[in-house]
Amino acid sequence: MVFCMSVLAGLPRSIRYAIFAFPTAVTLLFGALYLAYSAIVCDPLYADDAESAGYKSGSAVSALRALMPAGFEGDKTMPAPRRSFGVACWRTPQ
Amino acid sequence: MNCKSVAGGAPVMPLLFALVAAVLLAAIIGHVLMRVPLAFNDNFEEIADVYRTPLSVSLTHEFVDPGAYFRPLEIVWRYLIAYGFGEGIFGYNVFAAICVSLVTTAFALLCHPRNGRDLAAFLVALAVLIGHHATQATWEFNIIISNGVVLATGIIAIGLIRRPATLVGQICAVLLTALCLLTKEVGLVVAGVFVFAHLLQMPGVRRTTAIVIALMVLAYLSFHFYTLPDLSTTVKGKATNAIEYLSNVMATIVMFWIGLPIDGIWANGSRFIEQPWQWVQIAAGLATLLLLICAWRLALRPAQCEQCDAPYLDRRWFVLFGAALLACAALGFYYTRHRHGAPAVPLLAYCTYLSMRALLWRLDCLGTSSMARPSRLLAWMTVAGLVCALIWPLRVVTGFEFARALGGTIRARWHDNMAAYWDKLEQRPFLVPFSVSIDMMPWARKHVPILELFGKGASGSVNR
Repeated sequence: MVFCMSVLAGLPRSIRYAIFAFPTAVTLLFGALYLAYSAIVCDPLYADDAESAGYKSGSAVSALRALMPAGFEGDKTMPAPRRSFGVACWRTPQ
Repeated sequence: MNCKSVAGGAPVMPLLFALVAAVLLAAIIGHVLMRVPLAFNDNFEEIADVYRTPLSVSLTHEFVDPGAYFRPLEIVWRYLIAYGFGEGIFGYNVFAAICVSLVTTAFALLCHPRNGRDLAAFLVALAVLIGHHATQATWEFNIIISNGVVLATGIIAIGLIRRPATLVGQICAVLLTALCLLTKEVGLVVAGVFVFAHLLQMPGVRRTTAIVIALMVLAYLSFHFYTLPDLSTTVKGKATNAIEYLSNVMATIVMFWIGLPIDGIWANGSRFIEQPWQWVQIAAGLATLLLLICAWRLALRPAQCEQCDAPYLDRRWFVLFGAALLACAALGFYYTRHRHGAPAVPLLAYCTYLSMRALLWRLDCLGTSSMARPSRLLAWMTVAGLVCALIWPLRVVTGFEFARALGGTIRARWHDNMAAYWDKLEQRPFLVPFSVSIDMMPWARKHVPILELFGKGASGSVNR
């Protein structure tokens, strides 16, 4: 520990600061790359994995309809999510 | 090496870098929060109620028959979220993203780094603020309007306490207290922090303000206890006697530092212990505790700081943090969760910032200043600081993984529990828009190599 302290203290000041700031800075850099890739190509962390999980895309509503009696429409006072909810639908995998 | 030269240079660039880091981190987290479908959990009825009950009726009911919880402003938040953003139930996503942005940028402005040393300390503290499991636990749909609001308010409170008292500042302190108290019980922590700051003779809170806030708390508690039902009846998962209350209080404190025992249940003490992210969580908490202890022990007096131009580490912030943590623990007496420490996280992050700044100054001046002599304590502090700098960003990543997996989990649970949801007659009419929200969101990819480094269960790093 004393050795570690001495080595750190012996480094140029800017390098010492960089060592402490480096992990957060790298995390932010990866995050920035993720955002840029999502905006330009597609979201690398999201995919339509529904089928591999045993479900089909868009299956939530169709599964619900299987339970609904004929004519059931639900309460219209609660609005359905808007398709224009830009960010949520932004660059999702096709 | 002349320590005084460190403070030189243009102060605006470090602040600019800090703000860029804060906005970028908020954008990363906000991006993933925008992709969480509406959660069908125990709060779904409150979400749906907004659409079938007028605000005036809901508020009247809250004052006349508040039950175990008295949270009128939480109801107002729900109406604002439902109608204010024009996004229907996705208003929760927008609100969560705004809250995260407010938290990170306000923290950058609060720390206001003026040189490279401050900036390095800020980046570590920012990772603590966003990487802490109590912060991340506020990102769930409903929690953001209670603990999330109080967490954001906690940062503004630090700013108010730190600066000289002004009339506007005093009004803001009273308004923030009212906002927090009427939103959720954890608002008591913010009120207590203001009053305690005055008792510690910190500059931002005048005696009159402290008295007004204390009276507000008294009125709040009187009304709350007058209308509170008997808590000693057996409720599953909640404490019913003094020993269980004490157990929850202790568990909240331990959980704040190491993330265990999950839910405050001591039998969960080794849960997920085989997962790498759990050890990241434990190591980060212990390193931070060690850092703060060393910083407290090595803190210089104001006159010594002026003599060698060292950053002043005011121990009263540590006392205030300890008080906030104890208050969080006390409020967790009935039942406790990871999120119950959220109001203390801003003070933890700020104390980390002050400690890291002091550590970096000591390393700058080691051996050249009579105030920064090598010692075993400083060596421990250096190691703790390095561990914090390395590990807290990993906790930010596991928090990101938690938020990412939250969306996927909600989708999977819908299919698994669909029939049970349908059987809830009261909520049945609202399942259509809920299902649409599920279908609109993409599935979280199951295998992401960089996230799997932390273990298969990283999504459980924040207990819901």
